[in-house]
Parts: sequence; C-alpha cells; structure tokens
Amino acid sequence: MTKLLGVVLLLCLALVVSTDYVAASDDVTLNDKDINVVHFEAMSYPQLARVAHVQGVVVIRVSLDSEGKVEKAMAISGREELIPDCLANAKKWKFKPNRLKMAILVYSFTLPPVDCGSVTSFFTLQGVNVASITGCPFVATPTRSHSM
Amino acid sequence: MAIRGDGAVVISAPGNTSGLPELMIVDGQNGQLLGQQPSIPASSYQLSNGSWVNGYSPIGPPIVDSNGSIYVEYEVDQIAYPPQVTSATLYLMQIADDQYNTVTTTQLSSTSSNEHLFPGRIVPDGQGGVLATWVIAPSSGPIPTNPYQAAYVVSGSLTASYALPFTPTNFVLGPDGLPIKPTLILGDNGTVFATDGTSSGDSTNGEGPKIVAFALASGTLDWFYQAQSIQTTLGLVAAATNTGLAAKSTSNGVDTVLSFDSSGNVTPSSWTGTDVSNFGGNYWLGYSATGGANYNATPVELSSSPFYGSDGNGGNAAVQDISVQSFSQTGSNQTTITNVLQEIKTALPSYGACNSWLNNGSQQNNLSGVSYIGQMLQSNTYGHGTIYVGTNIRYDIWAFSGATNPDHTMISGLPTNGGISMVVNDVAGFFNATANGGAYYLGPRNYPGDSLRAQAMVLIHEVAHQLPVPGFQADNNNNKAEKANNKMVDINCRQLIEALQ
Repeated sequence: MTKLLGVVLLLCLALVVSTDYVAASDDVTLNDKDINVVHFEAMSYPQLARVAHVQGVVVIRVSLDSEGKVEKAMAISGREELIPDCLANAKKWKFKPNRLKMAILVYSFTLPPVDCGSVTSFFTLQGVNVASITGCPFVATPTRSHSM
Repeated sequence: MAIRGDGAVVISAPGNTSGLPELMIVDGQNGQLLGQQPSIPASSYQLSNGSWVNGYSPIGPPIVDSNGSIYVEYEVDQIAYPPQVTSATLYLMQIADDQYNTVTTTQLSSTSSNEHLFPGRIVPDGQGGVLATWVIAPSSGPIPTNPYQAAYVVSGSLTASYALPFTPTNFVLGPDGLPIKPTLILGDNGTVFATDGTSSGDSTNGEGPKIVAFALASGTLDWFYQAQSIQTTLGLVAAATNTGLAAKSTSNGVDTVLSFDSSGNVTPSSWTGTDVSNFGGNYWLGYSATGGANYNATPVELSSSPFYGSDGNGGNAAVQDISVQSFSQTGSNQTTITNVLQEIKTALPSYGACNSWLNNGSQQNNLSGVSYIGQMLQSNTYGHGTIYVGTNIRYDIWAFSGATNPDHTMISGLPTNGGISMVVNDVAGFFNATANGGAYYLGPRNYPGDSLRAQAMVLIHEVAHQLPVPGFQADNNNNKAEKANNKMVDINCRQLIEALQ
C-alpha cells in the first residue's frame, strides 16, 4: 500500500514538473527590465473611438528581430474600436534587443470631460511601456430639418 | 426686439407715444401681450410752470439669454426746467422665464452732472452673466474721454465696471438723434470684440474708427485696430474660433473683409464687394457691378460663443442636454441605416468630388471616407432611438454624431461604455415623410423626409462631422453653421446623393 502510494506521488510529481516545463516555454514572464524602448511613435486617439466615446486599455505583444525591430504585433486584449490603430502604431516602435525577442505594450485610452480647443488628443509614454492617449470628447452635432 | 425660445417677442420702444408700454412681451403668433408684465419706471420732468409730471424713461434694446431670461436697460431721469438733467440712474432689468415671478433690477450707474446715461447693447456670456453697456452723453459741452461704459453683471450683482477702450472726439448720431452705440460680440475664452464703426474721429490720433478686443470680466484691452481714414467705417462680421474675428472695412461703398487672429494681426481679403455678408463658412454674399454676387473665399469658422454675431446669433446659446429613449441597434430602422451607409461607401469611389472632399477631412487621421464608413459598419457604431432635448421630443433633429453634450456630460440613453458614434431619430424625417403634423425637408435642395436622398445627405453630413472635414463647423443649435455645412455637402456630394437608387 505504501509502495503504491509512493508510485502515485511520483507520477503526480512528474506531471507537475512536465506542466511547468510546457508553461515556461509558452507563457514566459517578461520583466520590465527586459523592455527598453529605443524609439516610439506618438499616436492620436482613434477618431471613430473618440466620436463614439470608447475608452479602455489595449495590450499588445510584439515579436522582435535580433536588432529590436518589431516583426509582428498581436493584440492580447482591448476594445475592437481601439485595437487596429494600436497594432499599426506598435509596428513603428524599436526596442533594445532582449533574450526573449519580445515586448509588451500597454495603451491606455481616456476621454476626460475637458475642453481642449482645437487639439484632439495628447500622447505620453509612462514607465517603460505604457502609452497614455488622452482624447478630447467629441461634442454631439445634430442635423436638423426645416419646414417649408 | 428679441425673440424668446417659446416664440414670445420682446419689444422695447423708447419714448413710446402710442400709449403702449415701453417694454412689451407679446405672443409671436397673435401679437397679444403675454400676461401682466413688469413696467419700466417713469422719469420726472419739470414743466415751465414748476410742476412735475411723469414721462418716459430712455430704454435700450432687449436681449433674451439661453435660459429664456430677458435683459433690458433703462434710464430713470429727473429733468428740471429749464432743461437740465439733475439726476440720471441707469438700471439693468432681468425678467426670468417664470411668468414674471422673478424680476431682478441692478443699478449700473448714476450721475447728477447734467448728463444722460443712455442704455446701450447687452451681450450674454452664456453662463448667466451679461455685459451691459451705456453711453455718457453730457447735455452740453465736450464729451468725456471715455463715453462708452460697461458693467459685467452676474446673477444680479455688478462684478466689474469699466470704460470701453474707445476715445471718440464726437458722437455720430443715429436716426433717433441719440449717439450711435458701439456694437459688440463675444468670442472664445471670454474675449469681447467691439467697434465704434462709424466714429468720425478718435482722440488717439485723430483717425478713423476702431475695432477693439478686451476681456469680458475685466475690460483689459487685448488689442485694437484703427481705420486709417475717417471716411472708412468698420463692422463686425462674426467671432471666429481660436479667439479670431472676421470684420469688414468699408471705403466708398466697397467692403474688404478683415481676418484677425487672437493677437490682432490682420489679413485683409484679396477680394472686395459691396454690402458683403457671410452666409457661413467660406460662402459670402454681396453685390457687384452686375447685381447680386456670391464669393467663395475667406472662410469663417464660427466661435461657439453664445453671441458670436452682432445679429444675436450664438452657437451654444440655447444648448440643452440631449438624451435618447428606446435606443436600439436592431430592427428595420437599423437595417435602413446600414443599407444607406453601405450604398454611400460603395458609390464614393465613383464620385471624385465627394470622395476627395471626405478624404481631405480624414487626412489627419490617415483615414479615407470609405474606410471610415467601413469602420462604422464593421464595428456597428450607430443606432436609432427617440431623440430628446431637455424634456421635449425633437422632431426636427434627424440624427446626431458623438456621445457627449457640450457641457461634457454623457448623452443619456446610450450604452454607458461608449461605442456609439451616431444616432438616428426614429420619429424625425429620416424615417418619416411627415413628423409631428408637418412635412419635413432637408438641405438646400429640400429633400423630403423618408427619401433616400435626404437619408444620404444626413449620413454624409454626420460622417463629415466625425472625420472631421476641414471647414465643417460645429453646428449644435447654430442655424448659420448648419446651413453652411449643408451647402458644403450639396456642392461636393450632390451628384452622389442624387444618383443613389
């Protein structure tokens, strides 16, 4: 009975080790110190999202070549109206090459209730990889008929 | 005369000798007085026999603010015999839109120096305050250095009082025999523009009339422009965006448009005309040697101030919150919107003028008109419902773009997490030939309600707002801007609109 229990425990341990190994190859943890932006591109608030008052966070994973240029960008999460512009923007960034040949970019879109005059949005890079895009709300514009 | 939002007409009649009150608020439909109204106090006049009688008090032009409040200035005098102004007191009366229950009177100025304080023009600030102006006119002798005065009144309290930055050497009298008062308009960021446009001399350098820009709250001068000749007159056309101004100077009957930036730097137009006026945007009307003429030049993008034009026009003057009830993104109405958008998207590449006009607007966003409409369709960012303004269903609003009100509150009735760029009104002309008992039409071609042409015009208009196309103006509650916008759609996209099947 004790031997049987020992075998079961060994099998479970082997399974755990095996699972850890698979996870490590697919879902690596990327530390902030691995992400070093060499060049970034500012972006505007996507116009349709601004008009439709869409806010939120988009997370993009980029694959890098040996020189740190973005080879491929993929959205991990975010609103449909925001993702295409983020993907297009991420492809213009450049990073210091790292061992994992990848980086994560976080785009944060907000529309605070303020007047901005003729400016439509502001872009700032915060921390190592957080792009903050603050938009100016689009005020409603009704179209009216007339009587004859 | 001024007109309140409910159609009531406010009339001030200085020295009314017909037996009617000096101030009247009448029904716009039948001319009948609307209830028991506040009266203007009488002035006192001494007769040659030493007795005193009541007489009229000078009264100025009324205005109606966005909340329905009526403002008017009047001067109560005591005139001794032989004629001498022994006292003059100037008041501002505010009549709230509450059946005359709230009437507020504020004393603006007083004098006992044998001079009048003639009521002048009033400009609303759009937030419950007004700039009230007047003219100090001595009964005899030279005029003061600064005869034009102003007071900023907020909630019935006089918060600032200052001299308007004009120094005329004499008055030019109007048909009523009284000094012509400066005209004023309100621009962006609390900047007031004013002109003594027909002044025949200024003590600054003895030359022509001025246009001045100053701060509403303090009177601090920002800049001034002076005509080079006393034969030249100046007029204000409209306050423009970014604290700009469009004005005109007239010499020998020929108008030149003057465009001022926020610092007062002026750019005269390269074209001239007679009696020119801005229709909206870059469309101007006037007269040439051969008759009526229109000009396509010198665009004016109107300020959103509540009093951008001297005729009392105002952008956000009466803006109230929009709301939507019964919002939906399904059903036959949704299918209709989708189909019209799809037809426009398909047709655009074949209609170069419309296509490139929309593409001009989207350059800054790296979008084409076709791709933008494609995004709208793909992300389904539109819907329909019943559109309200305040508590009233608005049958005249066919659609709107955006999700926030001018005060930045979210439009209620839409999904709280956003995602809607355009709403079409279920009860207005987009889906109905008649609405609320009347037939409705849209744009300069009078496209009838519930027609494909009207539907296409509405949607192109809204897409032009959203992109936005340069020169396409914010027209929330602004008839002039809306007419100009519809004209732009007509000029660029009429062929496409009328080709749709």
